[in-house]
Amino acid sequence: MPFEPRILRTDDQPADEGVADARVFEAGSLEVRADAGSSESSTENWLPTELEALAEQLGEDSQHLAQKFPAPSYPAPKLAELAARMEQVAAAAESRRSSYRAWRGYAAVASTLAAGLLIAVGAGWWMSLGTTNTEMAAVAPAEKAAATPAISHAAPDASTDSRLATREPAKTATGATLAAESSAPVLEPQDFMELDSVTQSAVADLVEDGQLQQGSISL
Amino acid sequence: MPNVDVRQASEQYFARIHRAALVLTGNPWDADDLAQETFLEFARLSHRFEGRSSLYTWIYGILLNLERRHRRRSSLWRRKLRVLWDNEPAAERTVPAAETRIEVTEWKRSLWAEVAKLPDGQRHALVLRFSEHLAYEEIAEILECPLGTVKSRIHHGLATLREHLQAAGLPDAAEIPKHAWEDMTHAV
Repeated sequence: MPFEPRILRTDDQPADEGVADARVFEAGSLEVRADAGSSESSTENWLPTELEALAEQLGEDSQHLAQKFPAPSYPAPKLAELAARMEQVAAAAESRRSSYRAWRGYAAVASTLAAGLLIAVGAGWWMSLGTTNTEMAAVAPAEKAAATPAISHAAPDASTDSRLATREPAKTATGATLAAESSAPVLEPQDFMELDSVTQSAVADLVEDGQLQQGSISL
Repeated sequence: MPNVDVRQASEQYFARIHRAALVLTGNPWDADDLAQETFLEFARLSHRFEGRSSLYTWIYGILLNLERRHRRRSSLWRRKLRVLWDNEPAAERTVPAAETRIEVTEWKRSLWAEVAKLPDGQRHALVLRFSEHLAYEEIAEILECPLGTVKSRIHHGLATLREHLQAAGLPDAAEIPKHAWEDMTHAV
């Protein structure tokens, strides 16, 4: 039977026909109104008459479409099965999400702690470096001041022996080291021979005493 | 938080949701898909239901959101197909336009085909009111808007619908559908 909407027909359906259709429609296990009490407000006749006719036609068209193409009967159990499966999948996904969130929280805390530790170590190292520099800067002038009188005590007459102008302790002077380290004139054998006899005997005494060695002798 | 029985809710409300989906989509195949997707989404999100509204109004909200999303995607898809169709040589066109929607004759001859041309807000309000017979308060709850807005949308929706029908000169039933190949009712 072809569908002929009332609004497109010249003759109107009787008013009872729509009610009868609605009863058949409801008998088909379709719950038209979920809440009869709240739907009472829907009966308020606030629409203009011409729009009321359209509204009625919409309702009738909807009923006709639902009768012509009823909801498939299979979905209920299938949907329940699918829904159960979906719930399992959703629960698994939620579990994964929650564990990921927990892992992310732990990772954030751990990285924060690691960063704090690194910053603390770096700051400590920096502070100790700064303290060392300060101490060295404070100690250096004191050392310099302490070294100067040592030189002056050790070499009261630096002009006569420049070897004493160093901070090193006095070493036992050998002929070679004295010759190598000193810039004083070297007493060559021929020069020794030119010395007078008194001086030669004094130098010879020193050599015998072991205080001087033969060879290049620096004065 | 109330414990939601997904199976019971599916059995109880599937027919209602399917009817609304049929009115919204215009063919039973898309209505089946949309209704099932609605309940799958409902099953997935059932743990979020807080009981502040009725369960079926909550499911209607899911349905309308999904339908809006489908409609948006479908519109984009049809626009792409339209470009491809226009680029094809006209002589090779032996099939209907690629972007042609599959709609059953009954739906296209009903006022719901005209309702489908209205904005989403008006369309959804009219479906919930005149197809699902929900109270205005429930519609306001589903659409998340004040009661006055619902009434305004319904009034403007009906007024626009009436203007469309008057502009079309209340077309004779014989002139609809425009394309014979769009009548898919024989396959049902």
